[in-house]
Amino acid sequence: MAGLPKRILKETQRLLTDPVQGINATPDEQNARYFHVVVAGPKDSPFEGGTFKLELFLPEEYPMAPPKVRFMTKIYHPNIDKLGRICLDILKDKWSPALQIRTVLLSIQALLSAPNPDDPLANDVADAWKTNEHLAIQTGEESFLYMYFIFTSLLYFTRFCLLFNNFS
Amino acid sequence: MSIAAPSSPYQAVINSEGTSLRHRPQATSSRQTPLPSLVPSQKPCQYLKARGANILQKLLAMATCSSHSKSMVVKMKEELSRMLPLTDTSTPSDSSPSSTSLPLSLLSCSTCQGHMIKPVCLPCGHSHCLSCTQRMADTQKQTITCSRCQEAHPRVPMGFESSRQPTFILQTVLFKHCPAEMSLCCEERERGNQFAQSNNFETALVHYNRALQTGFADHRVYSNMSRAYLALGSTEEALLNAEHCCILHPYWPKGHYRRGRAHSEMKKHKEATSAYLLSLYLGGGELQCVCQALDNLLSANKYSTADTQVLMESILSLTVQSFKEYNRLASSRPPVSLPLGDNGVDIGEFDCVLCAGLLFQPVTVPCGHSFCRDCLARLFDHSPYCPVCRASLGEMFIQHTQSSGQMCIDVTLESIIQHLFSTLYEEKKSVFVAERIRLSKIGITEDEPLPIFVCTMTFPAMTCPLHIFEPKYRLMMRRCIETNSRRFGMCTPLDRECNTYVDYGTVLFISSLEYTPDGRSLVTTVGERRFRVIERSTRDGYAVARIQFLSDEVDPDQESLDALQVEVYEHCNKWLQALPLFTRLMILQAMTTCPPNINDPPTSHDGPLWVWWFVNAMPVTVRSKLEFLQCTSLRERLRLLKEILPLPS
Repeated sequence: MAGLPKRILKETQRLLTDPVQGINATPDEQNARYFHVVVAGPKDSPFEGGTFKLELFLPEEYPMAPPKVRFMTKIYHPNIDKLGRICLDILKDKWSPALQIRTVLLSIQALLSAPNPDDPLANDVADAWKTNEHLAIQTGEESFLYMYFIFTSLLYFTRFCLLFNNFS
Repeated sequence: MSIAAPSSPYQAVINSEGTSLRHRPQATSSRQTPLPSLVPSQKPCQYLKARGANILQKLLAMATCSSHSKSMVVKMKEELSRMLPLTDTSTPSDSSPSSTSLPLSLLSCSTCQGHMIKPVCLPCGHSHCLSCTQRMADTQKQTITCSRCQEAHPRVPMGFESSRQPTFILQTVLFKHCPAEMSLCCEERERGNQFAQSNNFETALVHYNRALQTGFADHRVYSNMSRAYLALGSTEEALLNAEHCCILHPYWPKGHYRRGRAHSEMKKHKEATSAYLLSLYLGGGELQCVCQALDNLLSANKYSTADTQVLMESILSLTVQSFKEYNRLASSRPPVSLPLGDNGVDIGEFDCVLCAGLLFQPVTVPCGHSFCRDCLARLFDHSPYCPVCRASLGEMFIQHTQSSGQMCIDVTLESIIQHLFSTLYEEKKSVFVAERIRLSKIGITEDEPLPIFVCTMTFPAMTCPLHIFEPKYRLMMRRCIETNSRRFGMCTPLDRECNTYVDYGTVLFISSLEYTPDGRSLVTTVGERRFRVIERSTRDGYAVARIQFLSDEVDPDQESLDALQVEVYEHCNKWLQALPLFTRLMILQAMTTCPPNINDPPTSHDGPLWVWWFVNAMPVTVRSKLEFLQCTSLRERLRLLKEILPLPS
């Protein structure tokens, strides 16, 4: 591999010396363009308490082309599919070379706290999310039951993720 | 995946040295998108500074001046350039690099020559104050004419403020390090100017006086005061202020112009002529003022022809004397610097967002953000939007595609970086120059890794038109042109995705390159030597390879080889003639080179060229053609050719 661009070196250095809270990114020993990322579930979100593994790869054309990011841990989220692929505009057409690894990971963390069911990747999850949220707004006993349903299902998923993490 | 385009009529002209491309716009389909019409740059003599003044009035004044005085002025100006050679106009040479202070002259506006307030960089690379740029704008033609290089730039129609923003980095430096009295002085001057614009000169003077009380000596304040006093009728005060202004900045034409105005109000026509002449000589462009003052002088006292010579000499000596005197007074004043504190400025502020290194050859885009020129060119391979604020950079993009990546460097920003981080910048510069020299040898020596275009199979001396649209190949072509190597390698892909490529290829020479308005390019190439790939790697997204050139082995039996050549040549011709007429015509049309003659001189490394022509034309798979490419024995190639081409039955 040709020498690593200065920008990647600088970004890696800053990620290691001055890490973002709740995000841990370490470069692979063999390939400096490949990062092992662990993101903590954001506070006040259904994912709080969970840790999620991701992989991040900087293509040859980075920073002109966006980094490739994928969830390794299974996650129940309308914008993330079963294979861990993420639907996030800044990773696609809204990418700007002024963005960095750090800002991309922060955006992913934000996506966990604020899912965008209007632009879904996993349609079933998004539908469930939409109908449930809609019903959740309704008053009455019925909505309480729905709320209960959402929370238990999410709790179940987070526990599953935690278990998955411990074993892997 | 880039594909080979059919033979195209795009032509670019290489000049005699073959160093650069001059594009000849042709009425071809690629030019369907009309370019915004750039107003042709005006001749300097036609150029009138429309600083809010009525152009028509000025033209009338010009017409009333006698031709006699005009010729006298021209003569005097010539004489002046002999007597007063202008060595230095704005930047003092003694600005030794240091990191703790920044000479204010480095931040000076090209128009008002004071330190810039809201510096705006025009596409020509010259920076001006925002207010000065607004004055240079021609609302009728929708252009802004740079007062330094007289280049007219199109104004973005949606309005000035939204289209061009102050240079962000310079704004930050000024904001952080500007002493309080300096910013206060500027504020008061601006306020005064606003009152002066509404003809409220008394209030304006109050503000100007406040500006002076701050203790920061700004020549622009004195000039403005002179104008205000003149408007109020106190000529003595006006002259005093104008002279102050000239002492502070003797090279500023406007100051001398103000002096001239005051003198002519006082009916001192000789002094007025001298002051106007100096202003004109320093680049003020007020020819009609000088002529009028001279006319007044001539009409006031009747001079004979002999006397005019004496008069001219006395005016000249007065001009030279006054200029020297102002210079002497100005040089006794210490140069003003911006104190940057003990730690200097943070180098991170001067980093390019794209490469995270110190800005090298900075280019400032209309939204005020600065990038290295190379980084910006690479960005344009992907998108024409600012990475920081996502503003459209159409204006710069056109400049980029029209001049093959040579956007103008922000002169002010570059000189400031050079001053603050001189060693680092020089280091970067020498690395850049060394790299350019190294890369210019690509394709000529085997030492340099050759960029590889993975697309199709080409052969020595055969032309190959290409349509470049992939970002990585845009970068490759631009580097080929910029480093002037103009060479790259072409290899056939091994799989459909073009991830890997075969071991043998041909060096291609770019004979012409034409950009389309959206940044794609149409390239015509000619095959040169064949090579074998030794080691593969990538550089910034495209493939590069260490190569070894292939050369034909020397055949021990030259006589029998010659006989074989004649025999195979006839065989091949028979094959060509036996083809159906339509097929033959199609082949001849598609192959841009003519069918070669057996008597053509053979190349030293690749044998006779006619063999390659037939190899290129014959209807077999790429895989079988590869055998020809990698074969280093002419005898073997001839044998294969005879074997493959079917004889007419």
